[in-house]
Amino acid sequence: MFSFERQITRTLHDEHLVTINVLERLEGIFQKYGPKKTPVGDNPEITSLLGDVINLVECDVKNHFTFEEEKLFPLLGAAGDSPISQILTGEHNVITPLGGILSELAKTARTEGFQDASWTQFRQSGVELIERMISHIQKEEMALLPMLEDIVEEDEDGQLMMEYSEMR
Amino acid sequence: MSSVNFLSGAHGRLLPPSIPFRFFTAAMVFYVLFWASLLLNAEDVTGYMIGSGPMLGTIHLATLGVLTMTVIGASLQLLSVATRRAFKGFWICRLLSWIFIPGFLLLAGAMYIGWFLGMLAGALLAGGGLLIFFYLIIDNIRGVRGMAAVMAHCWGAMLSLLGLVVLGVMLIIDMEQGFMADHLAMAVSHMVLAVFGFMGLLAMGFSYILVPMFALSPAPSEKLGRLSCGGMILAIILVVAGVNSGLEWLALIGIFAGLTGAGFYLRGMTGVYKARMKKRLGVPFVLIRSAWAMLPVTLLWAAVGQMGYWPETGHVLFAALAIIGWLLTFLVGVLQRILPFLSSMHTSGSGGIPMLASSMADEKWLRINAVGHLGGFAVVALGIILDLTLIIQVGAALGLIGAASLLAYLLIVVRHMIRNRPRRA
Repeated sequence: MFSFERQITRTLHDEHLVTINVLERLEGIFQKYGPKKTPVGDNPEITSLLGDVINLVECDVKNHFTFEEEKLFPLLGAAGDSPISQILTGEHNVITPLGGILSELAKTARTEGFQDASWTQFRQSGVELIERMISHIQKEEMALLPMLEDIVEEDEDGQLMMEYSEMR
Repeated sequence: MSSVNFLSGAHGRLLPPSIPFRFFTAAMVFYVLFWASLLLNAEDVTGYMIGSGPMLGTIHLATLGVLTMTVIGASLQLLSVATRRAFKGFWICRLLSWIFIPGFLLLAGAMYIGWFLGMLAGALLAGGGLLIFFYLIIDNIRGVRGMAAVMAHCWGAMLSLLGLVVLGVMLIIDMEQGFMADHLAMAVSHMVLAVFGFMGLLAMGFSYILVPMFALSPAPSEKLGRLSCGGMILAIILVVAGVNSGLEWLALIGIFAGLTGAGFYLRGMTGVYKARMKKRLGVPFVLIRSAWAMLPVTLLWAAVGQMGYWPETGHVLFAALAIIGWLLTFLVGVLQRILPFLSSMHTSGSGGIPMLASSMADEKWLRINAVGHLGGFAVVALGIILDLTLIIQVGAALGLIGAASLLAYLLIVVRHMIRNRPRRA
């Protein structure tokens, strides 16, 4: 696996793994249920996944993004490498509302099940979110985390971990 | 191998999209023409050994037209990002295309009809273009720190390129002048330098960057990369030396060195694949993994031939395995993955939101391409083994359908890219 020495980069990497896992399960559901095959209510697999999607969007991703923008991107800027943080912030601004739409649809579906129209919308939003999130995680894993490994010192690492723990 | 942190600042080192995409578009047109030519000349496939004519043209449609064209487009973009060194002038990259593409067209056409002067002029033009490419790459990688294994692959590939260009021109002249003591040995050397040296080493070298990036996985160790590169370079040297000195045992040792190098490469790639964060990698990786399987098969078949056990069509099967099974399959898989990736980096939809790769073109074209390409290769190989023209024709037709699909996908993506370019302020 990727090996990161700093706690903060390891934590962010582990969160990426969790996110990818949920997204891949979502992708699996979309492959199983095409655009014209609305899943029937009372499907435990889907109900569980909807809960994970809501949790992912409303807690994990939101906190992850906020922490990056408030604490980590400024470090990159100070080290003279702001283009990547600009790109990532731009992607946050697209992913966040998209995740919000998906989360609302998921909440409704948990109680009322999917209808044809809501399934179509959930599927469209979900497919887009998967693609954007995977691309985003790719950039963070290949660029952001290695750069943080280079610039974050040990004491700073501890401080960042504390701040992130308080945020979550 | 330490993480290639090349995505940092990557956006600022993107070439204008017209540069890599002109090469990709040309490659896809020649990809269609290759399968079409194979279909039209199927009855000549198993009997071909050497000399000008449709088969020589067909082979070079694949090697220079598809493979080299793709490698040029990908290298120009990838290296400037990986080495964090922008090319000094985009005009040189454009000049390369203006010389190489027409030069290759002339060369392939002249080969097809056996026109000596056309072949010579085309070879000199195309060779000139390749020398510009040589200069661009060497200038970019010279003095680069880090990525030692990737750089070693690039150096090996570029030296092979020099050798194959010189040999290629000499072989054409020899067709008229007959000055070579052993034309066939030189042709084999040219093929080895092209397939396993220039294109093979570049494909393997870039694997160490692209595959971990696509699979979201750590890169293999530098040691594995250096061992694989060393094995392949030693193989090329020994095989070329053995073929030209008549020392068959030397060439056989070379092939086993190549198998060892390939083994290290595949060990690295297998590790990357197993450690991937994203489990579903889609159709491109079906092609890439199939190509990985074909690399040792190709070399084992080469060993069988070197030991004297090839049937009458053994040499043709070897060419099919190496060119279609390994290289074309690998590069088509890579292209399937990088075309949408590159185009999404160049496009924005309404409100400046980056376009999704999947919204540019239906991915069904990629599935048709994969089925057509792999099916086509398998059936063509079967046709060669059985020496049956009809089966080769069926395989070529499948391949043609697959190639046309990928060309359609590319053209749709390019149209989206043109329509959705970010507006300059």
